[in-house]
Amino acid sequence: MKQRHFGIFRRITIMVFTLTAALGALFILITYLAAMHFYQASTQLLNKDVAAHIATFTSPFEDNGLNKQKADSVFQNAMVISPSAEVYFLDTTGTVMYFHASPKDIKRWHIPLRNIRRYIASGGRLYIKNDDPRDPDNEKIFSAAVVNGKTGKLGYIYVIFGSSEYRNATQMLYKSHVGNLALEAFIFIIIISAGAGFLYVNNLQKRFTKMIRVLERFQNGDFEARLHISEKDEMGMVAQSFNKMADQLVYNIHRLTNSEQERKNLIVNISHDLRTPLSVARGYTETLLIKRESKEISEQEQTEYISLIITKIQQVENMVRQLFDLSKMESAAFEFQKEPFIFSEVLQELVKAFALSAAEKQIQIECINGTDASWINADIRLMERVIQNLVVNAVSYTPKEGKIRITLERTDGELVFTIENEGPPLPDDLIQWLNASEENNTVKKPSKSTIGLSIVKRILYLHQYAFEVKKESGYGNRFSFHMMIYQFAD
Amino acid sequence: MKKILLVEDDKQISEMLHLHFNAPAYHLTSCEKGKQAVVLATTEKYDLIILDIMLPDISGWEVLKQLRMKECGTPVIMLTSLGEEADKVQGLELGADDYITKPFSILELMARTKALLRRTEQSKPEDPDTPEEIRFKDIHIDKVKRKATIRNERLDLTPKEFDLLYLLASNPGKSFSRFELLELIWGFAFEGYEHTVTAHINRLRIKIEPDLSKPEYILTSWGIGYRFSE
Repeated sequence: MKQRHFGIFRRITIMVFTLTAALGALFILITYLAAMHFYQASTQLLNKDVAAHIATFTSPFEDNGLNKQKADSVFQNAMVISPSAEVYFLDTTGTVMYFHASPKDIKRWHIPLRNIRRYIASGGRLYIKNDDPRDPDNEKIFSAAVVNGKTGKLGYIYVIFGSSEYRNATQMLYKSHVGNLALEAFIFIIIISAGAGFLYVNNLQKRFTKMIRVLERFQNGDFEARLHISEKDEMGMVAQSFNKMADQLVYNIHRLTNSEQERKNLIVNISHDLRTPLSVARGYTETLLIKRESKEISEQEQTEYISLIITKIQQVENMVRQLFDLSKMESAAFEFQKEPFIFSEVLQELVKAFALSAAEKQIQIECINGTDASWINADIRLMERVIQNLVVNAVSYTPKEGKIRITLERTDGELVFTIENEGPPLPDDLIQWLNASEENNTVKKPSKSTIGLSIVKRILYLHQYAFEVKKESGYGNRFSFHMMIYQFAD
Repeated sequence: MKKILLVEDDKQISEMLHLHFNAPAYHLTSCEKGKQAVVLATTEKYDLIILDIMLPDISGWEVLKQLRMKECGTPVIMLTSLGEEADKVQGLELGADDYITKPFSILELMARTKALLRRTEQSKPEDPDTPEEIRFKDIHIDKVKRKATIRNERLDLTPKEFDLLYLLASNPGKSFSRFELLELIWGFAFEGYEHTVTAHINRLRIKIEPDLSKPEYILTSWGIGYRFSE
């Protein structure tokens, strides 16, 4: 099977995963920051009295200077109490006076007093940071107290918490419940979301693949292929539209194939029908040439041959004209002009014109109610064609001394024209096709059909006149059509 | 001898016509192009022009238009092909006198040519025998004013409708076939165009007949044509 690339689904999966991971990471970062600040703020708050205690109980500040012995013991005690605490003694200007370290470790000798004052003013309840003399780039949490002597302010006790702050914070993250919880939650979310996302996208992808398979089948000529998607989501709508489109397409293809078949049949028939008179005309022309050379032809024979040739050529001409007219009438752009006229007048005139050719075969044309003065609203020229073709058809199919009966009948708002002729009945498939509506494409045009009757059918369809063809119970055919009688507005 | 100009680019048709339109009755000049035909027709005097529509340079319609614009009134027979039938009406409006559809019968073309030549010779002088005024029942027709009234109300008729009414009314009781009327009123006559007459007769009837189901002026001569009531 061909390897497919589902760009959309791959992209959706990557998107969902990336989003989840980013959200997870953000969650961890927030947790870390929150935990760290909580830790620092609580440490600062818990140790808020450290500096004050030192000031109250073991202050090394004396009026004449700093008692270094006392100070060293403060350092020792402080170390015992909290290893992360570093005690500095500052003078009133904030300059470091004494400390427990090598002097080269001290990078900043002057500590700004602003934050220290704010801290003391708040009673140690502020979460606030200030400079670390050993690490001036990273501010630390602290505790501070002012030391007063008899002569006034002697200096400050400044305790930095944080020598090991970073180590603690990192440890906190790995060891504390919060850190573990965050990490576990993160992994859990990633796994669940990735898993659920994958399953969902996979399901979508499967439905999509199914759809694409059907489309491919259709594309490769399997016009029966349809989408079976019961869900009423967008994909269901797409499926429904596709099915409808496919039905329409199949219907149109069917129609086209049918009409193509009809056309082929017509061309085969026409070329056959044309060939016959042409062969006769050609044959007689050649006969004339040969016989004239050998001078074994009478004047009378020559005239006979030539008239026959002319008749045959007229037949060909007539067929070509009819074929042309039919194709013109079948085009969508064909226009015709309706106007009111008395149908029977036109009928009578045409019947009279055909009486001569009927008389040659001793055929009687009977006209019943032929002088009905009903008006109809139709294209005169086209209705003439209908009458002509039906009468010509009847005359040519009626045997010698046969009968043709034309009836006009007035019924409820309709004028019904009927022409009956004796003679061999029309083939069943032709009758079926003539009676089928133009929209009904299931009835195929029979291979053997006459252009004349096709034209009749087409014109009556254009006028919306119901057309009916029947075999007579005895021996013959019956054609009839219903015309709406035209009512003048007055 | 009648001088005829044939405008046709198909040599075989041209040669065939030369076989029939020859001395002493006719002198046929043929040319193949439309522009050349316009020059010839306007510089020389012809009795009739046979004009094909499909020409190598400009169409036959265009030739006809230019001729009529240059006030050349020579009668013209158009040669049309299948498929150009819709243009026939246009051709008649442009001033063609007749047309014949290819493939045509040479006998028919000869007959039409003779008929058209005869018509052109006869036409113009008004027939003095026809009455100037006709009164019948409620209808009054005044030939000079070209005015027709019914119960003193003026009828709104097109020129062709008036001619038709006048011709029928001036020959009461005489039946005219559609073909005859076509020739007499429209000035051209060929099969397959009779429905024009039917259309005009019925429009006229709608304007004058009080009861259309029982016409009392323009009557039907069944199987023949129409006649005016006596």
